[in-house]
Amino acid sequence: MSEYNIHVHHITRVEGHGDIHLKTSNGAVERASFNVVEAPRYFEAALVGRSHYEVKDIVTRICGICACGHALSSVRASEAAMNIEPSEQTIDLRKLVLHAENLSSHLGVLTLCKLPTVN
Amino acid sequence: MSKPRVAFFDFASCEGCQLEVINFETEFLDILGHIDIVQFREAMTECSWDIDISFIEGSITREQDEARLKKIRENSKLVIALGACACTGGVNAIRNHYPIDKVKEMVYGDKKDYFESTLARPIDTVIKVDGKIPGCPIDRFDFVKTVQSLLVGKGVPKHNYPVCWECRLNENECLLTLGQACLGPITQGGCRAIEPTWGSPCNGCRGFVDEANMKSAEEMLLKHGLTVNDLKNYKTIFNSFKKEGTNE
Repeated sequence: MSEYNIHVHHITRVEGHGDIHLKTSNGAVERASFNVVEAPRYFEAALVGRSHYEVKDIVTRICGICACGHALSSVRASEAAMNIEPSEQTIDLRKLVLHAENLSSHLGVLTLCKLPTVN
Repeated sequence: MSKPRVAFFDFASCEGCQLEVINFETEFLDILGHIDIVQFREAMTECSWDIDISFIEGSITREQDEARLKKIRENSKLVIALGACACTGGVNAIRNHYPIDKVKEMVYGDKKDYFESTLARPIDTVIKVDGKIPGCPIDRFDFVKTVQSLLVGKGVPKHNYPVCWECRLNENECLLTLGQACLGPITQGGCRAIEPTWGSPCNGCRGFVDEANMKSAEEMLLKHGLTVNDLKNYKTIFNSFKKEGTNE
């Protein structure tokens, strides 16, 4: 990394660990790299041999912000495996949950993590 | 008296426990009147290593994590484990059931050696921990109670009673009698029985109570339609980590 002259170790005010390295000359960026330095958690391996009702409990722990998204996609996968067609009402309710989660996430990140540092 | 200097750190985790703290709107602002937050990467850029209390989320899964964790311990008067990943290894430790090389190959195939990884462990396997706030995620009221207790110089409150206690206080109908496999009778309370109260059986995220009667709990769960294999798996969602040479 010695050729890079700007290093940001663990970007702040975001979920997850990322580093940024920039190489500049005469005020212009020549090269930029973004490294995800998060410890891998191997959820795919943790799910092997588990029952469908345990899968949602496990995958919701992939991310603290978007747990509903992971829960619902795991339920879809289980349904596909068992040939289950959810009703239109169920699909609508799931979409509602996803939108609520999205709203909560955006408001939280914006007002609690980002805006407090904007002058 | 100057305010205690508090820091938050994370290792292998979803950072949801810190998010619970950030999202605890009104009460969190009240707490801020009594403490100074000097390091909290998820929420602020400022950073100081002069720390009274460190809250640490996440499991230890790499050698580089151990070095960082020891640095935090050296710079903190008190270290509190925050959430299941830090307290029991949480869902990260499920993979400990398989050899780590096989786990890496399952996920990354021939690129498996791009990533360093060892067994997933709770933080007290590497450093001395002064208290634990269990749960996946932590209960925000439990967090406030813990901070209050630390501010008046007491230790971290321990909830050595089962989830069933608080479940009964909420006047819930027992999920076991409704034919659902609930780990409430053996799991440590302090979460206001949030899962059973909202109709979902307890999955043991806060770890087991001391002297939990495992045999009796197993018999009871089997009675409610789970197979031995399902039961074994269900109990290990959050409690897979085993100390070397023990069954704990």
